[in-house]
Amino acid sequence: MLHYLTKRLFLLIFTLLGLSVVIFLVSHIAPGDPARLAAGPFATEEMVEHLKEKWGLNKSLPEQYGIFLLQVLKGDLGRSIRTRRSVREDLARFFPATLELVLVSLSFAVLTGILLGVLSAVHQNRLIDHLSRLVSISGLGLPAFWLALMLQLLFVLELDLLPGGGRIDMILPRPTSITRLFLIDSLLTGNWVAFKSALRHIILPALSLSFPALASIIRISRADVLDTLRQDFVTTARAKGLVEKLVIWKHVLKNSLISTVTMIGLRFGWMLGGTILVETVFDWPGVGLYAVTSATHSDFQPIMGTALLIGLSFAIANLIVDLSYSFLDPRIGYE
Amino acid sequence: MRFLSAKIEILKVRAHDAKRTVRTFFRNPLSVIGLIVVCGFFILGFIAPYITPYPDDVTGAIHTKQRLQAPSREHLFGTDDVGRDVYSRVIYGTRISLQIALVIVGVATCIGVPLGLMAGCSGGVIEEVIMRFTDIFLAVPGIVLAVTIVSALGPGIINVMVALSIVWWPGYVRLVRGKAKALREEVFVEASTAIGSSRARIMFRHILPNCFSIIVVKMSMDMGMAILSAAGLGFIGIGAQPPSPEWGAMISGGRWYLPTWWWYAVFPGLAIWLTVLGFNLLGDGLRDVLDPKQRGRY
Repeated sequence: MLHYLTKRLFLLIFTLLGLSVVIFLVSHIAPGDPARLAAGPFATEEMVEHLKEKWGLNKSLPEQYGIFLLQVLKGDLGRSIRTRRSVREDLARFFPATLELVLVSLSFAVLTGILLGVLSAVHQNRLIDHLSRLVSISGLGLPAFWLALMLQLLFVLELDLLPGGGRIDMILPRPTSITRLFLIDSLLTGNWVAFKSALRHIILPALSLSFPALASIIRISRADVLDTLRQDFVTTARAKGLVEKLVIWKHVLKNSLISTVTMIGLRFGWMLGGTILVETVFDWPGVGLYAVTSATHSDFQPIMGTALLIGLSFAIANLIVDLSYSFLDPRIGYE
Repeated sequence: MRFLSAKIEILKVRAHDAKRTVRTFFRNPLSVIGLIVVCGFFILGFIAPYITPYPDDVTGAIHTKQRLQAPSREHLFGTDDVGRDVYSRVIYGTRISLQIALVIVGVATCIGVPLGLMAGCSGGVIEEVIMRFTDIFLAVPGIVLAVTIVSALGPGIINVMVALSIVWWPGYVRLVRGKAKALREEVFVEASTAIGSSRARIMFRHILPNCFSIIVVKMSMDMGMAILSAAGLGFIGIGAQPPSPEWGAMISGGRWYLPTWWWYAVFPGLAIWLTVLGFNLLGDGLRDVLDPKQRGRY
């Protein structure tokens, strides 16, 4: 286990280093010089010269990368020309909102997806199966940003049931900061007004973000449960006289979860990417909206910082998924 | 003579297999719907310049007197904020979206398949180097890396195609490498090695043709996802630029006119949904017939 963990951590560091090389090169392949790109379109010559000096842009490419990497490792991701703050400060401010949105979306997609997948497989070719397959097939092609707009159109503009943007009502004070996740903080401090408001605000963005994931989780879990239902141990369990519910929810489900869990790891990453589109629609103050606003203002440093942060989060999520395999299937060892 | 009759026998078997494959494909109504939708969009894409009722509206004409008109017989999908016919623009958008998707998937296949083949067939250091290099591009969600690249290169359709092609190929490397590794252990490959075939011959004559089915299925699925990603970049304003009738950019323009002038954003969105759904259904159907182990699983 320790050997496996060391190996995985080494690979994780190597991959993140590689990602930093790719992002560094992207800033260098851009037309014009990277200092001008980072300084923004309205920068003076002095500002550009200052950045060139700071990054050693007159030096060779490997030396420049060395300087870039050293700064990243020190936590210096540059400054945003739009917010006039350091990118690290901005990311620390916006990331909790994104994390909260992704976690709520993922939890909804996983719980609903597995439930529908299992019901669909158990009642194959019945109404529930047809309905959940319809959700899964249509959900795969549905553009998240367009779904977000349609949900906004229906629930905000037409029915006036839910708020159309932001994390919490403007007039409400923010819940006392503990984890910076509004739902959890308001729960921990017993601030029910803030909790209700945060919950109402997160419903539509989370629904939009979770729909494509929900669709694929239904498909995968349905297929896996169908496979597991044909296994001998299920027949044995039934022959022993176990209650059908116990057979399905204990034996079949646990043995069907491996590929669903892999899918959850991948979907976590895709959701982090998807926030770029969904946060834009709902004005959700996360790193997705931060990256998009930076992109449309030619503010390149925050985009580099966001890509690195999302890469790191994705890598950690995949590591957790890998480690969870042996819990789900003790036959899987870590060699 | 005996050689000729053996050849004819092989051709007969292949023709029989092909017939059975086609029959299986057409037996699944969802696959047929997917095929019809995809063919329909390709035909629309080809004939778009000849059937758009208002060709000038595609290139950015302005008719202020006709702005934001509801769907009618003159304008089936209504008009947008500067009076352009939304129907003409959605139809022409088909052409743009399909072109973008074809380029992205084409480039990704051309880069990913040879690399995957090399990694799967060679093993050792070559495989390790290719796979670690691939992992770097898989370390971050494609859309995030694409936004980074487009931000550096500047907005526009060409840069979107470049960015998405750069992030799209690793999937093919993983897929083909896995299949090639499995095929390397097959008896027919061992036999070919035993009679002294070169590594290149084994790769291109024996392993690659057996990878075609999974590549075709992935390409079909990816066409839809590429359209979706390009539309996403257009929506956030760094993809196709106005007045280009790209679907994502159209939704981006139309979102500010909801709910009163709903048609402006709704029809391009429906077009994306339908196209992506078509490619997904087609991909599912192709997987069912080309990879029988997966049949009926989804």
